[in-house]
Amino acid sequence: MSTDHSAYLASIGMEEPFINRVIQICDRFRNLTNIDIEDIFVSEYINDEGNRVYEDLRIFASGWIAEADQFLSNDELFFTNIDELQSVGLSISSKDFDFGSTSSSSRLTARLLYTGDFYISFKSSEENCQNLVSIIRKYLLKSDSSC
Amino acid sequence: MAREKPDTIKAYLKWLRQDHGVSRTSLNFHYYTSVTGAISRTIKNSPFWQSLTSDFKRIGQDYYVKQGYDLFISDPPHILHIKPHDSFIKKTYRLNVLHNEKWDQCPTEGWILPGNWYSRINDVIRTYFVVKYLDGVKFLSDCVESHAAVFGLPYKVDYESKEEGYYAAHGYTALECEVPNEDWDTRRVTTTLEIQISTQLQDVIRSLLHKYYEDRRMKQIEEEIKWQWDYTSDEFSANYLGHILHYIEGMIMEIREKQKEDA
Repeated sequence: MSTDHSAYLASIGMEEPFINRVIQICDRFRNLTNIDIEDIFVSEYINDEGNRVYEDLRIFASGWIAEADQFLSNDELFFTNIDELQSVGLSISSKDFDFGSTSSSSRLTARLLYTGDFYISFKSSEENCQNLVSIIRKYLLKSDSSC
Repeated sequence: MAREKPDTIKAYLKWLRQDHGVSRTSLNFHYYTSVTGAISRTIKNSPFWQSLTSDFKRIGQDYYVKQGYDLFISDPPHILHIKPHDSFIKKTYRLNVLHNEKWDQCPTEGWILPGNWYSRINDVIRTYFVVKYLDGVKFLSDCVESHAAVFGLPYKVDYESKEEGYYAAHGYTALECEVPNEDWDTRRVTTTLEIQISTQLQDVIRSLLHKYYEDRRMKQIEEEIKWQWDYTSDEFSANYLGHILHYIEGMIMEIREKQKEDA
């Protein structure tokens, strides 16, 4: 995992134990696939107590998205080839975010829909909304020709 | 024949002044406030406290990675509580007089007097953390101990289990502070920071139990009926509630561990 990725994780409030967990998963991905990781995204939300809850990790590499749902406690990896899979659409919802600057109340979720009622979801809050915008532009809109 | 114990705080304060030459200043509320204020500020600005309180997020994430559950309900507040003046005086009264089995001689570890009482009373400054689960108590205490060790501070922990149904870890570390003297010069004292760690269920009944615990501590006379047999008393319900909640927390841990095994 690159220093940029570590910096990204720190920017969304992760400390060493959680960052090490992400590193562990990325290492597993690399050991299995032998593919370099281009980007990572942590799907997270802010709960009623105002705490950030980290849910899922998404790894982007050579047209693949590896999903690690509930990554802090789960070792399962699910691979999707976004270059080859037929996407149906991309659903976006946002709150207090106009895809420019973020605030503490900014929220952005995205759902990439595939045939067979299959989807990949992404959740973000605060500054992580900007990261999700980058992911959407680079990987989701690029691969979703029907959008 | 031993002289009679002072049976009121007023009599105790008179005994301190007459028998031990304790000055009115050292017993004074304003002087106490200035000393404890200085101690509290020293602790708050200490590298140990700064390091510990800025590390809570990492500690919480470490626990989550290991256990799969949150350590804290929410970000723990970083509050240092100063023991109220009257509670402080009452505590010295209990130690010097009420619970002094050697009365009217000094207790085994010596009289607790203004020259040493900010060091001898171990909860002048106290902080309090609440964790979600029973195993979180030891986990957090171990983390506090690690932080104390980094700064060369001693640390000891007592896992309290009182018959009144009170369960919590009381950790103690010692820090050196500069405090105003009675003549407003300064002197150095080594004082203790008490770190109480409790579970959220115990926290719920804490204030309820504390009332009965305080009342009991100030009593000299043996009760006719022990509270454990006086099922009509509020104390009976409150104290056994504390024990039941502790048992429930143990059961919760058992279920949690079983779920992990089954997963």
